[in-house]
Amino acid sequence: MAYSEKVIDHYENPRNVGSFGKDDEGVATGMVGAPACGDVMKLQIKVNKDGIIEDAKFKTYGCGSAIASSSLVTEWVKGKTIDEAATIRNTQIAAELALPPVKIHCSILAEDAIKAAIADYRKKYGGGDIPAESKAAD
Amino acid sequence: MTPDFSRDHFELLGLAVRFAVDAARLERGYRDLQSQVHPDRFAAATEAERRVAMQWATRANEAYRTLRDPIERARYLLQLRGYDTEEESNTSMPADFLMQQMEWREAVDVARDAGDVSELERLRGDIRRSRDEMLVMLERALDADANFVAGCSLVRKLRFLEKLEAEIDSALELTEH
Amino acid sequence: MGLLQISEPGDSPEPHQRKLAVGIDLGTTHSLAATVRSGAAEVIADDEGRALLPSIVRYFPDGRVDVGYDARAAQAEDPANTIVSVKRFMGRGVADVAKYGALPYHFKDAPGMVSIETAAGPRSPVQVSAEILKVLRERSERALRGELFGAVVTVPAYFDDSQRQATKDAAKLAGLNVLRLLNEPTAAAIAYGLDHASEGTFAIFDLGGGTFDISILKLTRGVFEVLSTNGDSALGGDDFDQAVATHWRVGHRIADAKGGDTRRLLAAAREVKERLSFEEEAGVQVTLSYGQSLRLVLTRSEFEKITAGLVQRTLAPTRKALRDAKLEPADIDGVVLVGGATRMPHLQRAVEGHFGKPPLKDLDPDAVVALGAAIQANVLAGNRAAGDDWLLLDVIPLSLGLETMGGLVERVIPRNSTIPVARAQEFTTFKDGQSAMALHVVQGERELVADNRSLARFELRGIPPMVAGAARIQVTFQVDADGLLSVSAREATTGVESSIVVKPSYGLSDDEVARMLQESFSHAIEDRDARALAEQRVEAESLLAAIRAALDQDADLLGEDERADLDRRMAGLERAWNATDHRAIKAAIEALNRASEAFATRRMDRAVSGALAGRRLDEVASR
Ligand SMILES: Nc1ncnc2c1ncn2[C@@H]1O[C@H](COP(=O)(O)OP(=O)(O)O)[C@@H](O)[C@H]1O
Ligand code: FES
Ligand SMILES: [Mg+2]
Repeated sequence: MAYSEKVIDHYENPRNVGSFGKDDEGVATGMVGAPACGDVMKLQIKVNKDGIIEDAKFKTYGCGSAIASSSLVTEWVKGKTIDEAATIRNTQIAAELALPPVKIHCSILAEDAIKAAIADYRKKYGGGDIPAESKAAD
Repeated sequence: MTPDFSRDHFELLGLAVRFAVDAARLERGYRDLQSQVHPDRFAAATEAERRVAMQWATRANEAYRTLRDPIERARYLLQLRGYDTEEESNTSMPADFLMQQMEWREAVDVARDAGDVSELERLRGDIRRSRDEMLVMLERALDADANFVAGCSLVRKLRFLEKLEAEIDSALELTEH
Repeated sequence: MGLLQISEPGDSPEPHQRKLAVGIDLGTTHSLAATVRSGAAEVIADDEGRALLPSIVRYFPDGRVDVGYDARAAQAEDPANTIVSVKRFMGRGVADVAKYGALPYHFKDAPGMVSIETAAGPRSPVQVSAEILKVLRERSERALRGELFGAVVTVPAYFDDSQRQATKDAAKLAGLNVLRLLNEPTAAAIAYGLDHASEGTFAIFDLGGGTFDISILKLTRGVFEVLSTNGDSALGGDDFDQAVATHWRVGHRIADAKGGDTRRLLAAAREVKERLSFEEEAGVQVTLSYGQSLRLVLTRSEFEKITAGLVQRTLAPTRKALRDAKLEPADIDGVVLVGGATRMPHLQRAVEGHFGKPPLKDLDPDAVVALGAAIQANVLAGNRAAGDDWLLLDVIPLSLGLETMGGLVERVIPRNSTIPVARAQEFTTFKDGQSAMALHVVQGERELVADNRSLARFELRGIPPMVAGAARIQVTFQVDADGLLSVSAREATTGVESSIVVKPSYGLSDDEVARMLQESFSHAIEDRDARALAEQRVEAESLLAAIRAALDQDADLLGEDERADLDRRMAGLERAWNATDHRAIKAAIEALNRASEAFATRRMDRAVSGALAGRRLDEVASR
């Protein structure tokens, strides 16, 4: 058996594939690429007015491990706060999926994608937990 | 005792340390060197000479392989200048560049699923053009401007185009069956 | 076959200085030897004027063997002891040979590769091949009136490391000094290119009895550069015979034929297949063991229909080779056909259709590989004449890699790398205090270890205790000019080293080869010793001559002490030569080789520096 069953499951039935409108309320996008293999990944989060990530979607053009990693990350971040989500590390992803060493960079890609989405969020809505605009709209 | 491998690849093949190389001169330099050191020249020589010949011919092949390919050559030249291209660790590329990659990858997927050979070939044309433009920029960055940071970033970008071409090739391979 | 004039006779070294060298095409169906005489390559025929030797070996209970035509005549009568197409079993395990369908042999799974139970006892495919090579060696030595200095033995370009290693072992077992293993299509290109003074990009399409190779080469000003190679080491004319035999078996309701009947049907299929290359319809009468007599007939169009799939199977590797060379079919200047099975018209049509031009077939497809190997052997033996300085740059056909966690392959050397080639890869430990590391070397293009060929497993021991991830283990793959791999591993912080020549998993160990070699010599100990003494003396002479020649040119590269040391070792070897202990000569040879290492290194450095300086002068002059 080569890949762990978890990788295969996330690869064959990836969760949360797709995208939100880039300018939808509370949506932030992280886009990253791994020069080592030339693969690219887009990960989006949708943050509600309480600062909780209520949904996440991804699109990955890459290997099975990269698809599994991004699928797993979108599952993990749902229900977390921005700050909690920011603590996800590639080592946790690699451990959960039992990735072999040559596939570590694929999990790094997923870590960097969620970080990039969070950075985008903070840029758009400020450093706080709650989208600035939604606050104003309240 | 190991052979003297202190010369860099460019010197070994008789070229100036520049990104722009004359393909004919590169090939000539390689062949001249191989005709001196190739193990076929030493098949009837002593064991020690046969071993040294193998080491040198290995070294000549490595130099030629590196300098013949533009991405490898740029990476090697940057390394000589003390710059690391960070292809393993640097995942942050400009957003519009990544956007374009996503679009291309998606277009390749769609064309593959549809078995659309002419679309795949059109995409390949686009990607090759983009690659050629980047190679021109790379030459300017490395040879004219000595802007090595820009050189590193271009090498990273080129890796994505390389992958796209490989994806198109394997998609075309699929349509053959 | 045109004359392969490669030098003016006057340029060649004097006949008495020439070292006798041959090229041997060890084929699935036929084998043959060739040599260069008075500047032209020619095949070496047997006493009855036949150049081709059927690659068939028959074993008798008393240990006697028949090789060639006699064995071929007996294949239906004594199928279990008459081994045909043994090349298909080289470096292969039981699971591999099972793919060939019903065969009349009793296979035994030996640790390295399969072994065949014969009337004379178990025989490895290496030993069977060695019998064929021995006949060709003896034939050559008779024809050339002297002992051979060495031989170039050809292998399919698509052979993997275990198949190559097995071939080299067989040659050693046959008492040959292997100057080089040469890829068959490359050998054909040498013969073709030198004969036609061709320049350009060529595809060599070689379909033999059991293997298929496609190589793309660039021929320019005396350089033969292989750009890519691909193939199928389990596809050949034999498969067409199988297809025809199956067709008849079904059509005539021949219930599970076995043993002799399988052979009879296959032989009939082959005869009909070969005739259909020239006739529209062919038939043969066959009498099966239980007395049934059948007339088996086939038309060309039926044959083409039942074998269309096999012809198609050659096209995928052809496309891959072109793609790896980054070429389109239209970029190919000529397609050279090699191998008996390329005489089939529908195959020729398929090749023509793919490349858009009629293939070149003005060479004798049976002899061209051996002729090219002979030309290369002549050059490697040092019989190079002035103006005869072409260079050959070949590639490895299949990627080499290591198993990593999760059963995945980490590629270390990609396919189509020009040889010799070396690459290093760094690994680390994943547990604290880990003191050993297992390495599994594989060959192939697939992502999963299980789908590739396992070449060897070995262990690096004695890693000093460190925390996980601190050790830096450099694994170096070196592929030599024969396309054979050796692997060494080194822990960089402490220098612990471990090195192997890749052999164990699917080959014979060195000890096994040595034992077989011993057995193959006459049983008398005196004979064995006499032979070893003669061999060591020849080797000592050529080593001494080479070092004296080197000293004539470059003595100034040595310090006084170094020179004295070298002189002392040379004198030691001369003394050993005069005595009669072959072991002492061997030890003295090794000592002299070691003592000459620094000298060899410096001489090469000087040659390289000279070439670089010469180039600079040229450039100044041309400005
Ligand atoms: N006239 C022919 N038509 C079709 N096949 C042929 C013809 N002559 C020889 N062959 C086939 O060519 C194969 C042998 O080719 P050869 O080049 O001798 O192979 P190898 O190099 O593997 O020994 C056999 O399968 C044989 O039947
Ligand atoms: S190989 Fe590219 S992300 Fe896994
Ligand atoms: Mg052949």
